[in-house]
Amino acid sequence: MNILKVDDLKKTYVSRLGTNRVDALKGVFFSVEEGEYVAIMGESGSGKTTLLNILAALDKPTGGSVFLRGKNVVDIKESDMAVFRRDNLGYVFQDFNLIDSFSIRDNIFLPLVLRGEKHKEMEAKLAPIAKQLGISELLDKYPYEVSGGQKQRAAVARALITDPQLLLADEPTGALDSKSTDELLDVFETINKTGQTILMVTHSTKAASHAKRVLFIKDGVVFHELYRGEKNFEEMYKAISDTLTLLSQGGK
Amino acid sequence: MSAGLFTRLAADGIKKNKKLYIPYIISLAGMVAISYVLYYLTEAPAITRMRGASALWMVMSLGKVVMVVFSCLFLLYTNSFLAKRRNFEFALYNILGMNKRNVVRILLGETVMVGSMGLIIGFAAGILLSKLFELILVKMCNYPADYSFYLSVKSIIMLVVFYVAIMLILFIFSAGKIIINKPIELLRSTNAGEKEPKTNILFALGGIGLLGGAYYMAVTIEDPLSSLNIFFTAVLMVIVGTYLLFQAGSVFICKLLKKNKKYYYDPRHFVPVSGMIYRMKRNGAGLATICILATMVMVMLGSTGSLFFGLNSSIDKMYPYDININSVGISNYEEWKSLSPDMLNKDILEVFDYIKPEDVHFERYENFVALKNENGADFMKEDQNILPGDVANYMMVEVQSLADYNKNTGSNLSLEDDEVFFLSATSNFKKDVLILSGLEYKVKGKEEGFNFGTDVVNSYRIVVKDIDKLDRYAASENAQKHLYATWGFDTRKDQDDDISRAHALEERIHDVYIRSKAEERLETTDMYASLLLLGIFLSIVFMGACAFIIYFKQLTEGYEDAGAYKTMRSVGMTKKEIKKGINSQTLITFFSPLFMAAVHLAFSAPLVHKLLIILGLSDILVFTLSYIICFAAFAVFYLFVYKKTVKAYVEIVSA
Repeated sequence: MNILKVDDLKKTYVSRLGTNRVDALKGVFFSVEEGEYVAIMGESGSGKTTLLNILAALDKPTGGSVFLRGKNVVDIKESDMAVFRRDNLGYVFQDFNLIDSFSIRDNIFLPLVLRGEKHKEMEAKLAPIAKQLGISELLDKYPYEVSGGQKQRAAVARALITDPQLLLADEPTGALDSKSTDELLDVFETINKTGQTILMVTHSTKAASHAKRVLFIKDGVVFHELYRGEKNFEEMYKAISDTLTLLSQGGK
Repeated sequence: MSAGLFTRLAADGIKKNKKLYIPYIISLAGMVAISYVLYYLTEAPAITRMRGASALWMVMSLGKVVMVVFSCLFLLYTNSFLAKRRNFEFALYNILGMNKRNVVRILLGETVMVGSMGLIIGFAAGILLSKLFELILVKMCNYPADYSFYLSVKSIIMLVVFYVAIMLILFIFSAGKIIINKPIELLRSTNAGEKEPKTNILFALGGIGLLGGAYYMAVTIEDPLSSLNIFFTAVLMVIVGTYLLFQAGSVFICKLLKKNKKYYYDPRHFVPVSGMIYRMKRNGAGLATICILATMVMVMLGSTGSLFFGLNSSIDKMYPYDININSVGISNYEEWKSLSPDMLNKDILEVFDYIKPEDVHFERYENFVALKNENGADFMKEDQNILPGDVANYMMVEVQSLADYNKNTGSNLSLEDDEVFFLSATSNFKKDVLILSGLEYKVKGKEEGFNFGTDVVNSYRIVVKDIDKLDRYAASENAQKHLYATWGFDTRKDQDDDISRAHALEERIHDVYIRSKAEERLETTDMYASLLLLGIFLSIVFMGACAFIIYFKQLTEGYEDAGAYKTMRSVGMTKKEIKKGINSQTLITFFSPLFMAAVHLAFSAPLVHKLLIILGLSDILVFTLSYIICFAAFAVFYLFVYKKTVKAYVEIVSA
């Protein structure tokens, strides 16, 4: 059963005087099955961040619909969006977006506190996730006291603690060194194995090669897709590279 | 590289960051201007000549202390915020190939430019404002306007030295940071989070101790004269205590709240409490300053207002009759004793032709300076000076003869030689035997709440049968004494008539002091009006400063917090929740200074009331009312500023 269905999604940016129209998304179709691990690739300006923002209910499309478990996200009222987001989605940012005045623990608790959960329940939910992500020792530290990779794992913990239907990640490895990148990709694979659906936007071939399926966006439409199938990382990496080369040469 | 390049880079830096630099320069200029006005008003010849100048001087001197402390802290605070932003650019210059010495030169250029702009604008505004203040004050008090230009060069030099020193210290701080840190660390420092502040128990306790001490002093003070002595001490203690408390105490309280998991992990408290821990530490100085400025405004308006509005009752007390005549300089007891009640009647009845002889009231008493003790009092000797430790016991014992008393009050009292009739005034005596420097009297009767003279000094009056005996005894003890005789009568005429006739009487009788209540009232009104006016002026200045700090705080915090709020929104915080959090956080941070100021005000009331007694106000109702009105007015103003600035803040963080 598909958990996410994107149907003819369009987004047009109009400059203030209405003289300039930019079509960021021109009709995007795809769906994501439960438990899938999908990477979306594309060059800068291809519309992938716009797409992710609409999926995360951070932005409204000009046309089309996004169904999350059959519910049209586009129809959700502005005022209910934040609540919808914290109940159904987990979001991992490129630059972590941890809040400096909170300890790592409190950063992770933030969505639960917003839901009004009890402190004991929060601790109970945190323990296994922190263990899985290897940040149990860091919980009482502050964001400025830990490394980038640790920050990103804390951010992943914050996204996972609400047990979201869908984990969205926007260039999660973008600000990490290669060792931290490897660690984070391992983490994503592990949580995907436990059944977590992941949708990741990236332009790192390495990050994408860990996914089960890669979608390529160009000029506002899904241009191509690649399934991992039985391929190993190296084969997948090569397939993605080839596709990217083809894309950049402008072949249609 | 040429010096011109550094200057250009520095100027560019200021221009590019004008959103930050303009408020910074304005606040620097504002502080310079206010400081100059305060310094000027304590020195300007046109002001020091005015009546009531001493009260003014006291207010201004306090203002100067507050401004100095405040300037240091406020500049330190704003500069740290500014430096954080600028470090990024400096690091970039460094990485792009400038060595650290060059970067420091750019920083120096910026500091010099910002500093000189602040000083020049500040002094220009200060000089204009001070002259304007002076003119309005002088005009309101009906002095001839003095359009001559007086420049307080001494103040300018002092202030320039002071502010240059502060700027220099700030420059050394920032330069040190650039030199010590690696450029990459500076690059990051713009985004780096603040360390969680440590609770400094010593500071918190010190603050509470200082405030408690000052409150205790203010509440337990008994006589007005000692209130003058402790006033400055108490005020300094309150200022320092407030700064310590806001700096350390608030962090301590927030941390306690944070320890309570159930309270802390509640959507209503989570964001505000953790935000406040940081806020309070960095803004402790700002909040403490708001608190002190608010207290000053309210004390100033409350006291000058109550002086002005309580004027009539004060005048009635000081001048019991419409026309009051006092003897001047009678030092000979025999001469005093032989004064006759109707000796002035011929002149009085001629000038005030509608007055009958029986309308003229005559009173005569002998006044001994004494130190109170539990059995009575000891006369102060002629060669004895009052010691600081004795100020609280300092008093006046007024003695009246039985014959005079009976005649004045129309009563028919009789006393034995060793008996007194006791009249309590600002001082009382409870025992049955009164001993005056060894001379024993039985207290035969008492009258409470007898109302005479001034409230400044503790005093009571005793009536004795044989005043000659007491005077001889006192003379043998070499006691300090004063001999008084007064005549008074009510005219029930309009004030111009009273004043002109009083002056006519003055022409005829020379060795007495003649005052009409009407003229006295006019003059006092003058003086109190000028004090009130000054109070209002200074309040406007201080309130403006308050509003500016609040605005600056909101603005800078808004830019700092924008990122955190963006994160919270994307994690799933609704706009409503964000607004609620902001409201409760700003409500607490903003109203804590107002709350503290109210506490300060309440505890200062007894002390200020005593001080006002020296200036002649005794009406406690007027005093209390003016205090309450001032607080209410200030609270309304504060609420208005709060509403306006919270809006600006919300707009910034939700953009």
